[in-house]
Amino acid sequence: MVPVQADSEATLRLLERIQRGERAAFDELFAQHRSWLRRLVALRMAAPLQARLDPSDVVQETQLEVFRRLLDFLERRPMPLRLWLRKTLLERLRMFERQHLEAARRAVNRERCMPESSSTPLAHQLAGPDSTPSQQMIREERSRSVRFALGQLAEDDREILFLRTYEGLAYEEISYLLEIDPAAARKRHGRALLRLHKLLTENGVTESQL
Amino acid sequence: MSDPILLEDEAVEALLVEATNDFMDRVLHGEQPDVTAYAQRYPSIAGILRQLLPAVQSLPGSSPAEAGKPAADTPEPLGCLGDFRIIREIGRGGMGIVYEAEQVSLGRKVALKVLPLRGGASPWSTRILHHLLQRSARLMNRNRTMRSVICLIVAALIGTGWTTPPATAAEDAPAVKPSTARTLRLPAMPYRYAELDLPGHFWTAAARSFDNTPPDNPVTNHGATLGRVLFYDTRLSANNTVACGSCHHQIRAFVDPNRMSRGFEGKLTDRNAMSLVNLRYVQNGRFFWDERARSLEAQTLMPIQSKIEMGQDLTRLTELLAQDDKYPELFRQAFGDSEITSRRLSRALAQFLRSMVSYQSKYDEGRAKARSVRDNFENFTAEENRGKRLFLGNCASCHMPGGQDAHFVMNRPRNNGLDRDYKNTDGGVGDQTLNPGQLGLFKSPSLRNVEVTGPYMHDGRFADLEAVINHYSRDVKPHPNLDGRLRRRLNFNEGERAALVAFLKTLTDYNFLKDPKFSDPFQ
Repeated sequence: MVPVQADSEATLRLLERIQRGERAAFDELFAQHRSWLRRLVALRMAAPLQARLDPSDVVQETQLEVFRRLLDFLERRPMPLRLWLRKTLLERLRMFERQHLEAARRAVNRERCMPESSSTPLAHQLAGPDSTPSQQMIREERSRSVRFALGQLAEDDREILFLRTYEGLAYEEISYLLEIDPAAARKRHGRALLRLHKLLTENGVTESQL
Repeated sequence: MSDPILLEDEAVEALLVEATNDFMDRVLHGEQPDVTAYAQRYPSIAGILRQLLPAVQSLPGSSPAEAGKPAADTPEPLGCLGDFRIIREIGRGGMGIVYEAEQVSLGRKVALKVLPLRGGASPWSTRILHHLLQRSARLMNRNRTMRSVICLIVAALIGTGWTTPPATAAEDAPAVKPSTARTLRLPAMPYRYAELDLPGHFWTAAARSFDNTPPDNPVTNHGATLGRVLFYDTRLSANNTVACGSCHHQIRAFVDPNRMSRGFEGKLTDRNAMSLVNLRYVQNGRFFWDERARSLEAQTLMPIQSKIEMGQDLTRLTELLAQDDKYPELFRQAFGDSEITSRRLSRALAQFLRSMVSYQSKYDEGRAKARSVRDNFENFTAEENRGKRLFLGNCASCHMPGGQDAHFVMNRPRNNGLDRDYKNTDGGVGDQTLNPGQLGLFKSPSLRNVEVTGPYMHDGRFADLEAVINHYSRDVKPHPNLDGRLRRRLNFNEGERAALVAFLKTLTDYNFLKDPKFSDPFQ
């Protein structure tokens, strides 16, 4: 297994307090990661599900699950806390997707998404304050072009772009998840970026369109 | 697979990583960094940054799952045609109709031109159509630079009802029915997996040094039994349709007779399923064509979680198995208590795989009676002995390394000159390590039972052994990482090629191919 950066001193102190039974320490610990987890949900949630679920719902479920499993985690310490939170969140998200997307009786695929999905405020925050309809249209068009190019990338390339560029994981954390060396993760990230650039160019996406 | 990047791109990549990481870290902290400032700070890649930074910034709400797929408000598809979902009609004329479609396996939009035939679609024309679609999809897979593709499809489609064409061959059909619809039948006493009556050439020090069994996961009869049940259980896939045994057929020495395998949602894998014979004797303990798995235990969980192959979630899987009325007891017998974890699951599967040792072929019978592998085997025909001599003189240094004559497995990945183009073809190990010196290197499965493990090579390009021998004889292509021993042409004549094939067929172990202890226990 690739060695991964240990939890910070501050995190370790909080975990010790939790082990001593301090509920407030748990709330503090989770509060530190809440916005990051919320962003992860916005990134990873399938589009049809966004009409039904708010990322906060998933984060809340994750919080409950983390609380339930935390003592076991503290006993085993199988990975750094941040990666464990991420893993738990993605498991919860997958469960939601299965409930909503795969159960035939509730097939959300037959529904139409509302144009303003729950992640839109986040998109506004990240893509800039677009105040006019034309700016919003440009942003939508830009997003569509990039999404299409990402779809053309190999899965390995797409995944590492999400892990580093959008989730903000460190190369040491990525190397743990993908079981590769941190240097290889960095190199792979560079290649993925360059391939994305080449695809955008081949698709005719120019600077002016962005 | 991804296109390999030229070496001169490495400096660009390093700068891109630095600039993009800094830019996105600021974005994710709520800042609005100025793209122009980054272009000025990195003048050698300014053009790329002006395009790429706004692009990566613009996609906060996407996920890999939805990437490249039509937007949520895309109209319902009109129908499916092979790998294509028909979205809408673009136009029609005397030559046919052009549709906007999505190529499902690649998640991209294409234009599809349909030429009508008179007389309706016969089963024959439907098969031709499906064949054409598969070929077109492969061509498009090889050329990722194509923005859109026009497919000419000859079929009578207008008014005939559009559905996905039937599979082209019986072998395309899933090999395993859902295990939940069948009954698990196991012998009262478990089969013997742990102690095998291996012949002498498996017991030499050199042969034993190939054994990758870890000290903490030896093969046990109960562990391998559990592994066998898991191997054939379709619940290991997300939608209960595919088991490991769906793509690894015992009668074919656990390969898929199709070039590529279909996963749980019908999508095709990008490489041929590898033989599972004698995995125990893979000396470096790495698995898959590109050696991305560092142990057999790690390997077993990868197809289960693959989004193409089985798509299962390990937490969900262990919860499912815990609810079953048989598994807790099987886990208890294998591991001492009934706790079901993904680690135990992988260990049981690895035990089952390591128990798949083929050692009762005609070759093994002959070898047991001979003093040396170089002697003529008395149970061989003259042609088989000739083929053995040719093999030992030309092939054994790769396929029989390390001073042993039992395993017929290579101990490191190699390039065997399949493709001249090393930039745009599957990079194998090099695509994993990103080491240009390893581009085009692939693992080779054991040659045991090679008679039945076609099609051959990582992409299943060769249908039979004759084609494989022809390749090594006269078709090896130059490649920067070509194995040195293949730089000279072997130039086998017709008789030599036939002799080699005859020898390779002596490695077939019919007992192994029909051994009930490796068969599907669900009936």
